[in-house]
This record gives sequence, structure tokens and C-alpha cells, in this order.
Amino acid sequence: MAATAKTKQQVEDMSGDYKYGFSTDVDMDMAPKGLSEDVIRFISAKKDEPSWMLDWRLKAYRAWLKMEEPNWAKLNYPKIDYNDIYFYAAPKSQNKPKSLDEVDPEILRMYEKLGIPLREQEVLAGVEGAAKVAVDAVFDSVSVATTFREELSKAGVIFMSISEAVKEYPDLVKKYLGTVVPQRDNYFAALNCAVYTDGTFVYIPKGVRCPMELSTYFRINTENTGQFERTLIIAEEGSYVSYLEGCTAPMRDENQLHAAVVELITLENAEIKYSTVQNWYPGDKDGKGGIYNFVTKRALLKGDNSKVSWTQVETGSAVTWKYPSCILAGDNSVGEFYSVAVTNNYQQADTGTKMIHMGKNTSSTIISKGISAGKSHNTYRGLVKVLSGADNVRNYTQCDSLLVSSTSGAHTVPYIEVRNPSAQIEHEATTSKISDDQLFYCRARGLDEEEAVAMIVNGFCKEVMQHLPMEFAVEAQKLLGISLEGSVG
Amino acid sequence: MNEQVISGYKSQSLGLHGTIPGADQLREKAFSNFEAQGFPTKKSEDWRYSDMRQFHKQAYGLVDHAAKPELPDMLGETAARFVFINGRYSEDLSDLGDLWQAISIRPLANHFMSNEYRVNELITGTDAVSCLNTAMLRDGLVLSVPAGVEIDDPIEIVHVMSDASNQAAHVRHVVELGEYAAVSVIERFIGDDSAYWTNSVLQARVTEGAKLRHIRVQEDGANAVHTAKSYINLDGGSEYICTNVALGGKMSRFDAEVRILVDGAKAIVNGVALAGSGQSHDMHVHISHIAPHSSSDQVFRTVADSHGKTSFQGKITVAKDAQRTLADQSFKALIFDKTAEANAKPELEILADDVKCSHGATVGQLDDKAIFYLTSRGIDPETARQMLVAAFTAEALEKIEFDDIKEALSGRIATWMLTRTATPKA
Amino acid sequence: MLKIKDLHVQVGGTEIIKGLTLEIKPGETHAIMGLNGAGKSTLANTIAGRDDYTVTEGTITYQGKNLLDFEPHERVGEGIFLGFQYPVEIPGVSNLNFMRTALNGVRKYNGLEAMTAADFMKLVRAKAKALDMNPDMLKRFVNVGFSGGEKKRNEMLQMALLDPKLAVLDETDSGLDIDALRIVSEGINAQRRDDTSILLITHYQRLLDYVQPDFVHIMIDGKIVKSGGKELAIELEEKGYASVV
Repeated sequence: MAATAKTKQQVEDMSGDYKYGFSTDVDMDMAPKGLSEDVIRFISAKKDEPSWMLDWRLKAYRAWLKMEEPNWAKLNYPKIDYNDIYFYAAPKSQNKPKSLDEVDPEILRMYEKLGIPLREQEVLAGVEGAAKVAVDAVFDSVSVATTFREELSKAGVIFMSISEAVKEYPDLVKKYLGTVVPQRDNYFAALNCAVYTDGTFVYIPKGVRCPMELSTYFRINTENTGQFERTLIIAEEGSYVSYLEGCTAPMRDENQLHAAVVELITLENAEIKYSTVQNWYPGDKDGKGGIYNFVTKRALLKGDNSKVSWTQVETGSAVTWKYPSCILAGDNSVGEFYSVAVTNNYQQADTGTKMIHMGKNTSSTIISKGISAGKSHNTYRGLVKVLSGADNVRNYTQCDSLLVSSTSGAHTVPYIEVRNPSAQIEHEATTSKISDDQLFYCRARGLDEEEAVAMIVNGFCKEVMQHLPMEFAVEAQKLLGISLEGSVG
Repeated sequence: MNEQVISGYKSQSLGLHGTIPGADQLREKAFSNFEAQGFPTKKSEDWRYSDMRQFHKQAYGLVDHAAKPELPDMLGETAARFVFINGRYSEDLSDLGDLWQAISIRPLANHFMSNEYRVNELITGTDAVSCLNTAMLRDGLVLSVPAGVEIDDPIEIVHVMSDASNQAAHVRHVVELGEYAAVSVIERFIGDDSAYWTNSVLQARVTEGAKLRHIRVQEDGANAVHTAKSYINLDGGSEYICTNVALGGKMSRFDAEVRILVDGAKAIVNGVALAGSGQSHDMHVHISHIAPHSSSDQVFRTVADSHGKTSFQGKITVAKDAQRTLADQSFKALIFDKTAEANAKPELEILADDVKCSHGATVGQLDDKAIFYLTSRGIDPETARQMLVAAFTAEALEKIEFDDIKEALSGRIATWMLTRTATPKA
Repeated sequence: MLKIKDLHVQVGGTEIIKGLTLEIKPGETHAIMGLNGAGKSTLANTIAGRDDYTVTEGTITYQGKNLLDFEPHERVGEGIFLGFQYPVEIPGVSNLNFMRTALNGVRKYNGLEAMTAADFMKLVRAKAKALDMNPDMLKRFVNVGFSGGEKKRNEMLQMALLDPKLAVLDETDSGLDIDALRIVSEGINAQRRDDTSILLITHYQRLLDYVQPDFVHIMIDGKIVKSGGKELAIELEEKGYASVV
């Protein structure tokens, strides 16, 4: 998403406030407020889905009714009224446009304002040397545009909205959907299965190295709407893909719910690199408004020698509940989790990962950097589990927390469970405040206080940032500074 | 939860009515607190690594016979020894030495009568298992060290269980240290092969500048269940130094709840657990920094042999006003084969900004290179392993200030290595 | 350049500097000598504007301005440089990035355009070479894993880049072997001009063999108790504090 200079400029121009906070006036098609089997039937009918998909949704809904909202995270938010949410909102235009010319110009303008000029990106295709990023733009609950489809299909790569994939590639979707995150995995995953409206489907065939970065840009726009997208990425034997994800939402006084599910599957020798810059609206200085972000992300490393790398920069959302995980089933498979989570004002983040080692010689690395400012709470929660059949497992975990204010909290809750003697598990964690000595040293070299804090924080996050694709890293670094503005003093 | 289990304990608690004047109300209150919570299950976060099923199946009865078991040798030089048989204080077997001249130390029941120390008000405990201990309040020691008095040699408290299948002992000790006082308490737990449950609680108030050394050696019988809790409150500049050694029992659990209430206190809680076949040792520490300028340190080393399981949950919390806290924690586990299990949950919860807190945890097996190096110098592999395990666990015994006791415990660990059931594959 | 008058400074409620007066004119190099705890580093940190160093009495005037009105980073913009006794490690921040941000901050303060990356690289390479620094040190994180001598050279490099009017060098000679001392001294001497001033803070006379001061002051218990020329340092070295003062 951040491939163009324009995006960078956009971010550079941002001052301390949330700059994605505008809303866009688009004619919307909505389901009635609240959740019932009828609403699910409505969504399914709207999307013209095959009956197996509807049955799948209804099954999830019935399971969800019997489940309870999890309360083990270190998060505090008022009870969500699921009957006060629109579960479906889509720009009225209809069928998916065949080309950008058919996309509502209002939406194109919005994406431009966000720094994702969809049209320009396509035009850039002809420019030599320009980094190409294919974008799937999901507006409220519906995919409005996917770029570079043709070029990708030449390579055999399928990159489309999941609604289209359900119709065009039902066998692939049926084979993998819900296999990594089962319907009943957790409350929010079950809810997503019942009401998901769109999302991204990626299929990389055997031996293919995806010719460009793939990216989905999520945008919540309409009031009182939930966003429930699903992402399914399948990397066949020996394939590779780098996938980027960005998210923003308008500033609104109410809290909006976002409950996504992401499933990744890697077969033998395949690799998926999944990067997220999460910048949903975090709420205002007094903690009013902001997105509730409950996300289930999991990768199944099915094939031997496969690799999944999660990198996330979490700066947005009022509440974040998110644990991108790896099930390391294939022998010699490698799981990585690199995370920066910044909380300011009244934000709360409870995020981390699970590395479940099942295969032999599997290894995982977890690097988590939490920065707490304002009156926020920032929790790392993680599990490293080694099953008894998993010989020669290696894990290295490092969780560092930096406290920028005396009114914030930093928490570390790792679980280590090992049942094989050949495992080598190492975990280190530190919590400290931003050092006075470092601050003074920077200031004694002419940096003002905010610059000094931003510089030290960026240094603190270096090990994670270097795993982001270049264009993303620049933006993420600026975001860090912006997220912390006003937190010093 | 099983009604019969609850009503079983209820009638036991009521049966103690009138045995200690002034304690009835306390027991009743504790019982209703216990009843409201019920025994923890695997779903209870604090007990996730302990198998609690036996507690839900039956109510352990109170032992009502005084056995005459053989007593173990002292661990080292001691100032006095107090003996509890099946949960009851045995005056005959205890030896107070010269201690009575310096400090006040008496069976808990007497204190209720004299009301001298308002033990009634001192009794604490909110979790279900401690509440049950209070509901069964029957015996224990009240040890009170006046301001400025330092007792050099440790005081040994031996808990012996004998012929007590399906029966339990709920002993409660209360330790009070006056300002700048110092004392060392060794708690030992031993027993025969009967399937008993020992559920003990020790609570201590360490006032300004005082120092409490606490050594726990758990060598319960092979079929025993052991639960124990220490509630420690620390005042300004005081020190608490605890070493827990878990060797015996089928299932054991040690829980330390240390609260630093006033500036400048220091808490050290260390532990070693060795789990052989069928054994599970769970150690749980919560150090809560409530006042500023305090420090805490935890060093835990565990070894799990075939079909053995060790678990550790260590939590450090730093309250909003507890600035300048220094807290460190180190957990290392060895596991010997695929049937063994090691779990750890080192947790930090920090609400102050000017702090330095860290934890490190590792799980693995003995270093092959180290074994090779030792064997290449002519040491046989089994001895090499013993040496390495001794070195590994020694880090957690370091804070024991009495060399004879430290040696005795190292000896216990060496013996465990010699007699354990299986030899690990290299 | 710098006028300090009857300065009293408290750190954490304890008075460390107890009535210190000192004037440094352009082109002059002064050395302050004294034992540990005399308040030398406190003076350096106070000039640089460290928080928690509270001036309770007295004034510091720098180029006619009240220095105490300026924030630490503004003082750098005004031309003051503090060479740290213990340079701080900043993991994750590359030395180059750090120095470029600092230099451009100072340029901006003085209404100059930011230096381009290419120009900056040229400049920093030249300066590093003059200090006989391994170019590799530029890419490493600020002071992380640097030896004592490397850290001090890094301080000299920063000084050369920022080109201050007044350099306050706190124990710059400590922990240096004789070669490093010579190189660092050359760095300091290169900074001596008619329009710049240097304040050396040191334990030993050793550095003063290489950087000849115009004035030497002896500081004891928060005050300057004796001032003189270069010969005072030699006398001190030979006879010790007790007999000189």
C-alpha cells in the first residue's frame, strides 16, 4: 500500500492527530442492525453465495450463540451490544467493477486521500523500476477494487476478494477455509465465520515466486458498522509471497467492532511473509471512540521446510486482541513473529503469539517490543509449546517493554510448555523506562525532547522494523513518532 | 463441585467448634469463603499446571491419632526444634533449647486464649485452599521475635505424617518479627507412604529493618499431596530470603505471596524442584511491589525426569507508586525425556515507569558439550550428569546462609540423581 | 564567552557546587582539576543543562545571554558542546543517523538548510579519518560495544561535526592509552581557535601535556580554590593537592 512517494508524503504531512479520521459520503447498502439467522441469510443472498457457504455460516452462528466472550485478556471495555451493530454495509454500486473506471469516484478519492491512489498504481505498472504492489481495497465490508489482477494471473497467482473466490474457486476455498482457525476456535472467530462479508483470497501455485507484493487495504467507513473480513492465503509447494495489510478508520465517538480471521497455509518449502501496519482509529485523548480490534490470525505450516513470518506494527485501535500464531507441523519449519505495539492515551493492547511446535527440527523466533505511553495498557501474551514428538526444537523469545509515562502499564505474560528434552527454549523479557541518560545525551547533541524520544523508541524497535518491507518500514517509523506525540513531558 | 466433599469438610470444621476459644467465628467465615470458591480446577489460571482431581473426589478427613514415627536427623545446627505429628504439636518431641529466654514461641492454640498477639486478627488468606486451612484451624506455632533480637541458628519445624491415608493436616504458623529482629525458620515436611494431604500455611510480618530467612524442605511420602502457602508482608528496609526445595510427594504445590508494603524492602524467593516418575511439582510466586525503592530476585531451577512434571508461575507486579523498583527473575528447567514436562509462566505486570524488571526462562537438557568435556577428562557420563545437575541447582541454593544446611540439601539432590528411575539418553 | 558568577548547584537536594566563579574568554583554554566528588562533572552537566541539576544561586552568562533560559538542545544550537565522561549507549540507533540528526538539528536552529546525505557522508568520513576512526564505527549503534577509547573518539568526532564555540570536555582523557590520548588531543587542539573556547575537566595533568591550557583552576568541595597558569598543574602533579592548596 505504501509503495508510492505520495504515500510517504502523506505520512510526512501528518501532524500529531489521527489523519485518517475523515469519513466518506458513499451510498450504502445495509443489512438491518443486529444479528440473527435472517441477517446471515441476507448477507449470503446479497453475495449470491452457494448454499454450502450459507450452511457453513449458519453452523458457525449457532455455535457462536452458545459461546462466551473471552475475558482472560488484560482488557477492559464495556460489553459489546451485538444487536446495535450493522453486520453488513456495502457501497451501493452493485456488482464488483471490472475496471477502476467502474469504481465509485468517491471511493477512489478516499483511497487517494489515504495515500493509496489505486489508479496511479496501475499506471505505474508501465514505469520501469517502480515497485509494484497489487492492492485489494476493502471498504467497510466489501472489496471494491483489486489491482494488477491480470499481471498476477499470468504468473498463475490468484488474488481476489474472497467472495469472488467462493464462486470462482469453490473447491480451493472449501478445502482450506476454516482448517487453520476452526469455526469454534474462539468467540470472535465464530462470529466472523457467521457474518464475514469479504476479505482477500490468495493462491500461489507450486514453485511460483509471486512477482510483486500483495496488499489489502482495509477501511471502515460507515457508522455503527462492524468489519468482519477473512483472509485466506495458500502457498503451494516451493512458492513465496509477501503480503501487506494496512487499516484505517474515520474518527467517530462510538466504538466500532472489527473481528477478522486470517488463515495461512504453507506446503512444503513454501514461504509466506505477512506484514501488518495496524492503524485503526485509536480513539481520542480522553479514550472516546476507537476500534475494538479482535483478530484471529494463524498459520499452519503444513509442509516440511516451510516458513511463515508475521511482522506487525500496532499503533491504532482502542482495544487490540490479537495473537498471530504458527502451528509448526512440518519438519524443519520456521515460524517468526516480530511485533511493535505502541499504546498511548487510553489505548489497550493485548497482543502476542503462539508457537506450537509439532514437527521435528522446527524453530521459532519471537521479538516483541511494547511501548506504553499516556494512560494506556500494553500486554504481551504468548505461548511456546513443544509437543513430545517434536525433536530438536529451538525457540528464542525476547519481549521488551518501554514505559514512556508513569500512568501507563506494561505487562508480560508468556507461557512456556515443553514436553521434549531436546528442545532449547530461551525467553528473555525486560521492562524499563526510557532512560534519562539516553534522553539527555540526545538532547546534549541538539535534539528536542520529542525527537529524542522518537529516536530512542525507533532504536528500541529496530529489530522488528527491519523485517518490514522497505516502503512499509518508512511509514511505520513515522507512525511510531506520531503515535507517541504529546506523550512526553 | 461435589456436594459430599463440601459437606464433609463442613462437618469437620464444625467438629472443631470450641477447641480453641475465639476461633469458631474465624473458621466459619473462612469456610463460607472456601465454599463460595470451591477447589480450583484446571481452568483456574493459578492452578493450570496442577492436577486437582483428587480434591474433587473426596474430602480428606482430619487425622485423629498420634503416631510415634521416627524423626529425621536435623538438617544442620539448629537453635530449637518443634515437631508436629499428623498436624498436631508434640511437646514431647520438641526441643525448645534456650530460645524461650529470647523470644516468644508457643502453640497457636494458647495464643488465642491469651489474646496476647490478637492472632485472630492476623490470620489471612483469601484463596480456597488457604481458606480451608483456616476453616480447619487447630494447631501451629506463633513465633514472635522482639525488636532487635537476632537468633543466629535456625529454628526447625518438622511436620511428620504417618499412617494417614485420605486424611489431612492443616497446620498454620504465624511469624512476627519486631523491628530489626532476625530469625531463620526451616520448615520440613516428611511422611510415610500413606496417601495423605498436608496443607500448611505460614504467614509472616517482617517489620522495619527485620530479616526473615525461610527454608522449606519438602520430602513428603510418595503418595502424598502437599499444598503450602506463605503470606509475607514486608515493612521498610526489611528482608525476606526464602529457598524452597521440593523433592517428595506425588503432587506438590508451593505458593509464596510476598507483599512489599514499605520503601526499601528486599525479597528473595528461590526454589529447586526435582520431579521423578509420577511426580508433579508446581511452584508459584507472586511478588508485589507496592512501595518504592524495593527490590526482588527469584532464581528457580527444576529438573523433570521420566514421567515427571515441574511447573513454575512467577509473577512480579509493580504498583503505580512503586517507583525505582528493581526486580529480576530467572527460571531454568531441565527435562530428561519425552515423557517429562516443564511449564513456565513468568509474568510481569508493571504500572510504574521508573523501574527495571526482567525475567529470563530457559528449558532444555544438559549441555552435551559440557558432558563431553567432563567425560573427556575421565569422568563417567553418569557422574558428569550428576555434577552438572548439582551445578545447575546450586544457583537456586546460593542464598541459604548456613553452609551445613546447604550441603545437606546438595546431598539430597545428589542422592536423587543416583536413585532416580531412568537414565536419560544423551 | 562564558561568565559564571557565584554558582550554587544542587543535585537531588544536596548542594554540590557552592559558589563557583569563572570567566572564559574567546580563544582561551581552561582546565579544571580536582579530586573525585569536587563537583567537576556537576559543573559540566549544569552548563549543558541536565535536568535535576538545580541552580539555586548565581548566574551563567554565555555570549551575553542567560544560559539558564535555554533547553539542553538549544544550548547545542547556541554552540555549546559537552563531551561526556561516560558516553551513553543507544541500541538500535546507528551512529550515522544519530550524528546527522544532531547536525541538522543544530543547522536548523541556526537557520541553515539541512545537509544532504551525500554532503554529510563526505564530511563525516573526513572527520572520522582525521581521528583515525574505523569507518565501521559509523555504522554501528551509538556507542554500543565501543571500547572506552572508541567512545571517547566518537565524542571527538561529534565535536568536530558540531563545531562548537565552547566545548566542555568532561574527563575526556580517562581510559585512554597513550596513542588514543594523542589522537584525542589532536582533535581538541584542532578545535582551538581565536573564536572558540575550551573547558577541560580532568583528574590528571597528563592530558595537559598535549593540550596546553592557558589557565588552570583547582576545584575542591564545589569551589575554585586556586587558579594559575600551566605551571599550577605541574606543581599539583608533583606535590599533590594537600600541599598546593
